[in-house]
Amino acid sequence: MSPTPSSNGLNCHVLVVDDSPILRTAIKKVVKLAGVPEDRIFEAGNGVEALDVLETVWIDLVLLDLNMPVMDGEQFARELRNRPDLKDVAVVVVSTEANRERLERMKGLGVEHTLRKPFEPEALCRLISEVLGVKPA
Amino acid sequence: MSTDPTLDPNTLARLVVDALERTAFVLADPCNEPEQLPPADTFAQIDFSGPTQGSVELLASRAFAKNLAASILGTDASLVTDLQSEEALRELANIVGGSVITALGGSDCRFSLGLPRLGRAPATGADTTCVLDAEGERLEVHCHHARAA
Repeated sequence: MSPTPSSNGLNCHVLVVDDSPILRTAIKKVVKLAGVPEDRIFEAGNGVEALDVLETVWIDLVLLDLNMPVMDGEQFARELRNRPDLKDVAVVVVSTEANRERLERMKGLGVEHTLRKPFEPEALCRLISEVLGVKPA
Repeated sequence: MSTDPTLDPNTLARLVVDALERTAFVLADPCNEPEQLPPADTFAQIDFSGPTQGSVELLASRAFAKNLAASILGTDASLVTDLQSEEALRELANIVGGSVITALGGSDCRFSLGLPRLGRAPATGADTTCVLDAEGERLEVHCHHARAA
């Protein structure tokens, strides 16, 4: 079911996964601009931390960096798809990744949307709205 | 795809300017008189591998890194910590590195990026270099891209 806009913003939960704290802050601002209330935006510095968040909070959309220490984005996506309770969570790659084979592997894991860094905030805002099935804020 | 990719200074400068504008709304221009700019005292680097091995090194004045962090965070530069300045430069290295391997590899890119890191003294003998003036602050970018894999 698509998230519904309300007076309190979009009724959905977004997880930002990136090893750069400063970029997580910047992405969270864009997610907020897209209409998601601040208290429904979560963050993680790698795939392991992201899985920890997913075990405690329902997440509708994961914004995922690929090149991260500890557990990278590809490992995380594979782990996600292997878990029956998490396999349908929407994932958008937000990364500098350019390797064609790796991006193909991500598509094979059901990750259809990729936003290459550097990106304009409006592009991320539009993509969030598109994936969540709501009109852009 | 060519196994001997090249990258000229103008293209490198354009990639960096684009990364700065899109990521942080920071404006910069190629500088013809780099000796007029403050010295670089902050370094970040990212390596890449693939058809050739290489690296992208960023050398910046401290104020550039601080201004970059302030722009990304949407705050005043006076409120930015040294750690945030370093994180900002490291993330810029990551983004410029991604742009460089895309320029080198094209649509069939077979390059892979490593993780960006700080603090390493710059290597000499870069294949491509540009110096940018970002509102009076220095950003140098050195790219080594011709080493055989």
